[in-house]
Amino acid sequence: MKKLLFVLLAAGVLTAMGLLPFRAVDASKLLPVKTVIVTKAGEEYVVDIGSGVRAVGDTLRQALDRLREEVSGQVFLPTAEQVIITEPAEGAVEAVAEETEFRPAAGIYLTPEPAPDAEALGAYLDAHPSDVTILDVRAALALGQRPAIPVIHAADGGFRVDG
Amino acid sequence: MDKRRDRISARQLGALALSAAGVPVFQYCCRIHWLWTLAGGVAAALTLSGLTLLLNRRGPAAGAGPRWLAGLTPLLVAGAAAAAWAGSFAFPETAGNLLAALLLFLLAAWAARLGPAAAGRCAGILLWVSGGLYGIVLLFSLPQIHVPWLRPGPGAPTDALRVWAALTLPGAGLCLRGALGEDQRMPCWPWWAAALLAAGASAVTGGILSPALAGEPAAFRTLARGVSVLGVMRRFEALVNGAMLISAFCLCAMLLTAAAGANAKCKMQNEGTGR
Repeated sequence: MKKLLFVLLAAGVLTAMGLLPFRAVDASKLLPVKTVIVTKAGEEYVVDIGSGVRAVGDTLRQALDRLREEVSGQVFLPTAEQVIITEPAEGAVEAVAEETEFRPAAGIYLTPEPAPDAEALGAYLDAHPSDVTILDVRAALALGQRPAIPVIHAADGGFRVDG
Repeated sequence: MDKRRDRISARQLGALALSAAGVPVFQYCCRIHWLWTLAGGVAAALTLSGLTLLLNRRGPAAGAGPRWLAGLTPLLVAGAAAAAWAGSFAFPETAGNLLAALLLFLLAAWAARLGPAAAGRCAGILLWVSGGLYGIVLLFSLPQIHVPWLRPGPGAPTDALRVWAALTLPGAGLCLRGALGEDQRMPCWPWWAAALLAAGASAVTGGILSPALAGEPAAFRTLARGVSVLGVMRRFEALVNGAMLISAFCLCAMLLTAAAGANAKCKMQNEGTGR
């Protein structure tokens, strides 16, 4: 019993001193992301997660880091079900495929500029999920193949997915 | 010392060795093409089975062991430290964190201090927990396998050699043979189960991630991140990380228990109480 108390006390002290190698997150401040739109404006990456929340960076990583810094709350990207890249997006497909924070099973799409609203697109894509995932694209790029990514078009006030 | 805490059943020892095999299987072997993994796994199982049968034929190993056994103690402790270090990579947040490795090492040392029976009891439960978690991920990943990616191709015979080396690591459980009861014999099934598990995990990892991506570090975690159970349950990576931590704990505890056993045998011989 004394040993158990000692272990609990040691764990408490380590936790209080912030020495335990685990990160605490306040669940009430979590902002789970559903749809991410990545646009390349010139040489800069623009990341849009809907509701007017966006961030700009020289690289996708930097844009995601800035998004995290600028938004009040904890942006949680592994919940994103769809990542949409607006065309022309030279290098953006590779950047999205290499970004380890996205869920590998998240669907990946292309769309011509200007990109539609992330929330409206997310609702549509929930009903029409893609078979092409970030992992498929990453694998195709690693094997030196050209990934076939579905393209979303605005049509008759709604959307249409080709490919 | 209480005799009951020195005794472990053959089934518990098998469970401990198989739980410990989770570290080489899911942190290393699954990154290699399944054919080489199968070849290396079968070779490791044959090696360990041969050794097991040979030792079983010699009868119970109670009492003091040969003098050279003491030389294994530092090797086993170093192996346990390496297992604790590998355990720190179970969670991405703690990867390479010395404190996380130290905590795991201390926890395993505590279990080892309680004797082989405690480590065996832990493994008896933890094998089911970790096996269930790995099983869910592997089973629900099956529909995503791209069959063309399973064709023979990448890799070299040296990969099989590496798998053989990795999968003989749980063979340290043979050092605990002396803790088995009088009528118990060390089983061979853990070595074959580990070989089959490694080949299966390699096939699933390579078939889903592609041969090009399967070789990346933490490939099995990447696989787990993409698993969806019945289309509604997702994000199993934390559970898989937990299973990897359990495997690392079992490997660390097994090596430390074996080290303690080897050390005790050496002491017995030095005191002239052994054979």
